[in-house]
Amino acid sequence: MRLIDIAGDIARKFDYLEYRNQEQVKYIKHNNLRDVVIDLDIEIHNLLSNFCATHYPNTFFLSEESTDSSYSWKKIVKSDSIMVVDPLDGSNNVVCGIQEFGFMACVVERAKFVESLVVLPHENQIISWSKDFGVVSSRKIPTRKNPSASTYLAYSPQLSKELIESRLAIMSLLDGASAGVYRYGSACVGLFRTLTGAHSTFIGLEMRPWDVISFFPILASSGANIAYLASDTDISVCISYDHDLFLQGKKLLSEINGDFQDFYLPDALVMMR
Amino acid sequence: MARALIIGAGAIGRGYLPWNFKNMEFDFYDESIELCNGITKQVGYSSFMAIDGKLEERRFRPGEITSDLSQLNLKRYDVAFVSVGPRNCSNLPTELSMLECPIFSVENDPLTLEIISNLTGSKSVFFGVPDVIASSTASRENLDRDQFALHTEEGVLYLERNSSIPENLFGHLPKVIWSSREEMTREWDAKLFLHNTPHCIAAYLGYLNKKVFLHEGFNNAFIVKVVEGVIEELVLALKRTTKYDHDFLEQYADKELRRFSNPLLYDPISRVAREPLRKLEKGGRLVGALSLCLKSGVNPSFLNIGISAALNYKDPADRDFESMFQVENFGVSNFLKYYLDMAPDSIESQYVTESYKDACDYWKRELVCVS
Repeated sequence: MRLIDIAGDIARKFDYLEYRNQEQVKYIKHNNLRDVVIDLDIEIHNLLSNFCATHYPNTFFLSEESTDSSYSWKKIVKSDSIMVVDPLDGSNNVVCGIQEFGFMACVVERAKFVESLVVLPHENQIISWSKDFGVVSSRKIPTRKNPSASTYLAYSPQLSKELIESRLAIMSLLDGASAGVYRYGSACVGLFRTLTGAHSTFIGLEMRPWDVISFFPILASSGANIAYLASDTDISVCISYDHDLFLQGKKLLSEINGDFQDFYLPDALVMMR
Repeated sequence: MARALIIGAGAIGRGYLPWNFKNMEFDFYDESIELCNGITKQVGYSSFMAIDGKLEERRFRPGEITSDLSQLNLKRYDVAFVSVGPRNCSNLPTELSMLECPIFSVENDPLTLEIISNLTGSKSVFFGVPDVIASSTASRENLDRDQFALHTEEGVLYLERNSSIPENLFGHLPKVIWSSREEMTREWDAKLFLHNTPHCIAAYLGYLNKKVFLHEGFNNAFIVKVVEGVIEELVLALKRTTKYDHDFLEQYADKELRRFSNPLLYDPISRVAREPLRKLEKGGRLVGALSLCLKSGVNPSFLNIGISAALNYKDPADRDFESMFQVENFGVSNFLKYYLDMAPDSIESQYVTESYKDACDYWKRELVCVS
């Protein structure tokens, strides 16, 4: 059994959105309106939790909606086998009727990627990666690398003081070096559009691992430069197809946050601070 | 003596194109090292053409057949033909930009012209339509004599006429019908739908009926009935939606069943049915034909049986096998959405989804099916 085998069931869960009335916020996490949880988060979380228990019995299940998702980086790096899941990235977009959301999951064994799966209902795309087959997408991924590509900036609702103070400098760098900074509430869609070339660069600040790492093997396979800096609870990333911008971004982020680690396949993810 | 380069030594490239040459030497470029070494070692190969119910053999000896373009002087050719399959055009080697001659894409697909033009930087890329059924293999008897033998029907090769094509080339391609691109594309959809649509449906039903060659399926009355029904639906739809000459449509349709069922062709079902996702694409030979019928008020009952058969084509050797396996996992509506970019609320998606079970039940009842 592989992650791709649950993709059809995930697609069906997204289908139900068509038939429901507006999704209601179930609760708000961390007292932050950006961090809402809706029924669909829980339903897809439960679906993956059961799938993991049934078909990956020796794999630890870590989801954004897990009751205890703290110290996640350590779990990812130290586990013999772990499934990392973001059931619904962009929950607030669903509530607000913005069609930018998606599902991400990956399986990591002894810090190395084994599988990855992304479902993007409004792009009509299923993208999977595995050690054996590489990247496989349900439809050809439309790539349009062009000089007027923009950048995507994602950051945690609970940004540290250092990054709050540096946020303007980062945005200025990205604004000046690309066609502008985009933010639309879903790292998953932002990462997909980096893969297509609509964004040349993706910068993520103090995100949770499930927000981003499932795309690592997919992007690395297609030649993106990837660097990250992880703490116990969060991860910052600089991902770009523009090598100059990648180096500039990594340098600026390293000055603020500490040294970033480059990621290439089949590298193991590393414990940092 | 003129010289041609044929890029892709498959059914059309190897089996059919050389029959059209006169006083023209030719070389092949093909990515299969095994094929290139094999034909080089046995100094040529045989192609068999079905003419008036009999097979005529011709032995062809290419100058070079190679999977290494550096072995060829690309500037020496008078003409080049691309016959690698539409999906493979974007993976052609960039060294082909050294070609200085006219390049004809004989892929039956006008979209490949832009791909080849971008890849080679050539402004002399032209459209070609090989109106022919060419098999990628041969009868057991002929394969025993020559493992690289192929069968083909007589067919007609249409090539785009253009003022930049050197006059002397016409003499080396005496059987070719030269037409303007407008002329070739004018009845393009009629040919696409009347030939390609029933052809691939015959293959999908033949596969489900455990047949190996296309003509074997035509011993089954149900397959004949469905293919004839599809042709009838499409002729009616084309009559209602286009200004094409009705005699042309009827005559073209009349000969199709005869062509498909020709027992001399030994056309493998795996060739005709290959890459079902491409054949199911919006606007293509299956879903495009469905749109045409629905738009024109024709009830596409037989066509829908064919589409349901295509959704059940699961040949492990086919490059779409992994994807086709997801039809059950996703359900038809979501498979059409995620794998073919068809909106679930589109009329085509709704029609296929709602009638899928009944259509499958019908062919399961009528055919002895693969498990």
